[in-house]
Amino acid sequence: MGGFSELIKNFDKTRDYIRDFFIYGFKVRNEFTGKSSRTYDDEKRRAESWLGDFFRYDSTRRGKQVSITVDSGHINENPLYSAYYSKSFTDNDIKLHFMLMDILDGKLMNVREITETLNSTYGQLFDEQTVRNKLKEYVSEGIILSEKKGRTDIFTLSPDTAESFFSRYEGLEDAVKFFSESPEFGIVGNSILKTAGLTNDIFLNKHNYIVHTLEDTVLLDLLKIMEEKRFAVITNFGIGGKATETEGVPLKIYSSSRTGRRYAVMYLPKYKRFNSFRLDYIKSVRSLGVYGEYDDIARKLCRCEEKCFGVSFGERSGESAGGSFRMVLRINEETEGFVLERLEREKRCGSVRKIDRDLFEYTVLVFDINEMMSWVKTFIGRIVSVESTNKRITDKLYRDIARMKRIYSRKEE
Amino acid sequence: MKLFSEVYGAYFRCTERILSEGEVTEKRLREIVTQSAFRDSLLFIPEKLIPDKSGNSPWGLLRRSESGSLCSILSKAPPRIITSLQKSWLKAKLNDPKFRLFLSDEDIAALSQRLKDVRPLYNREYFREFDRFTDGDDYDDPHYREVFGTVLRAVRDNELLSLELISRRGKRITKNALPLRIEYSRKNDKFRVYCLTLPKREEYLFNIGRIERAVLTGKHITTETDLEEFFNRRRCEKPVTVEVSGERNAVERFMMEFAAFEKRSELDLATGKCHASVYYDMQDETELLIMLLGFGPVLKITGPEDFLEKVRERVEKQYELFYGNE
Repeated sequence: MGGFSELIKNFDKTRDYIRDFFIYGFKVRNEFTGKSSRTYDDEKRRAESWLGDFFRYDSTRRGKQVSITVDSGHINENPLYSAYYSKSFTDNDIKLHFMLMDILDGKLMNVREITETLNSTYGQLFDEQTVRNKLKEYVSEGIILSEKKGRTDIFTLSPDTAESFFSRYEGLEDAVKFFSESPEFGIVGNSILKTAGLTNDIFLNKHNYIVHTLEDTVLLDLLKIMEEKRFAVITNFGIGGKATETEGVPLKIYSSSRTGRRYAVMYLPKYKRFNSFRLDYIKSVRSLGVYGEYDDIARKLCRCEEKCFGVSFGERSGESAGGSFRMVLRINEETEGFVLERLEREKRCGSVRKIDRDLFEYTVLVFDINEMMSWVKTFIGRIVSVESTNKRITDKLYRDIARMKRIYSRKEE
Repeated sequence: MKLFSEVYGAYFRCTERILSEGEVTEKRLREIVTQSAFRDSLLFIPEKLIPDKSGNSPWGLLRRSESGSLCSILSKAPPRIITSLQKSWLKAKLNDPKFRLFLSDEDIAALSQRLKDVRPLYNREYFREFDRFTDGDDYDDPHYREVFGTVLRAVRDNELLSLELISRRGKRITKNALPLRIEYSRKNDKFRVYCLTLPKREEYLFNIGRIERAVLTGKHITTETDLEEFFNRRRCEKPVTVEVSGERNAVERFMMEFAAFEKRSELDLATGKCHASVYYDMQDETELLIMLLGFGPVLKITGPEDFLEKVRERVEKQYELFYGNE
């Protein structure tokens, strides 16, 4: 097999490839820069092996284009979960996994007894240290329980089987099926289903950004740091691919169900401000010391959220400057109540008021007016006027409409 | 607690399935590998499990019987343990208001008690979904929970439902329908149910929050519904085609925002523009239209003609509102 393996040691490298195949379905082989063609071929073959039916090849003028095509609203299971089920292991790892579970089911034994039983029952010679290490690892994963008997550690298998959960709590099976596709660590729910031999055959998810699962390892590290109220250093690979390190205090995860982006919001003591970092650009997270003022700064963030339309905390000047924004919309009250309902449910920190017959005013005070503009444009066809303290932005909207008029002009055809 | 661990891996799971059968033929072993591991796993797993002529194999988990079949060396089927990571995930989900739709209050209390010493994997307060719609379903409402429970049971058991609901326009509707799948939208924070009405066999998508009454009829439908065909009937006839310019990081934004849609895309290196075809459910046409308009002039909708006409109409109206009849 020329050294090829379906399994991988490190998730990060694969994460980038899968993301590129999925998000940028238009890349061809030589556009995966900074990687050797052997690496590309191996990664592609692995991904293809995991994702099978979802892999697609298209011939384009630039060469063969590889993509992962998924109609994520109509699938039972996120196909990208497969990447998590591909961790490499040694022959001893798998032997010990099954043999230890067999030996320790309903029995209490110490390391010496376990090592001897491995030899006498299965004819497998392991040194005590190898067995001890595996037991320690499985205790931390909750597969094996340990207790002290005098000065000796005694081990037994955890009694928490999938059957003991699913047979005891009616409806738990459906709950796990539903949450196994949720954006927050759905992969863990999916692993429970796999453990129990079940599959989700009931639920579908609309506005489902399945690629989020690739950020789960980074997300888990960040949440642990938040729980412990610590500083962190994040290594970020931005659009240009250049690595940057940022030290700050992670406070919250912001996510958008509209754009599919997720962000880690951090407080940067050096600049005395909050900043948001795209989760999919964060390569790794390193935990540092405890931040003494964590609770104060977390409260401050909550107050700031009243003026945060999305994820931007604004700039002092330029396009991302904050201020007030006012927009007047024409909505027919009798026939277009659904538009008014949409405005109400999507207004976020703004407020809506009727100012005349069929005319409604939306006003808001935000950190970054520019951030609102793609939402504002969803009302194209109804915007009577816009005003704001950031004139550059409102002027840009007027120019955009003039450009769109030219783009969609019938005369152009 | 590790998320990326071989314990949850496809190879361990596949091996567990094989060992659970106690005794398998080589053919059966290969079948299990095909069903429960990756596409190319047949090239790797059997050679690790099947003993050679001297009875040895790298994993040493199977021995060959006199009849030639392969027997597990274990004394019983491997237990399926719920790990600490999985328990802490369950504990985190227990705090989600939607969890109450699935379990009774008594069972939730009992499960909470069982997991009392487990730390939740995450705290919900650390997440902020800033653009989620504010008129989501009320998961605490007893009537909603009851309707949800009935619909869920009907989906599970392929049971025909008698439904009474209020349409968006306020009209009362009654239907006999077979619910097929329950859909959740995180943007809307609402559950909806895909149904096939009988006897007309029309496809519907009902908001569970609009169902006034859902009654199990006791009639179980044994004929399987082809879901692919069901969704294909709801799918647009022609995809919307767009041209995304390289300005304002639009290509990246578009690819990310439309990642949830089935689409085909191609990049024109000479112009830096991305050409894409987006497929959608016909019921989502307006939602798609406003999503695309949100990109402004950096995205040009190029077809199909009827969709394009709706775009033109809105843009022209907007131009008039800003610039008058110039």
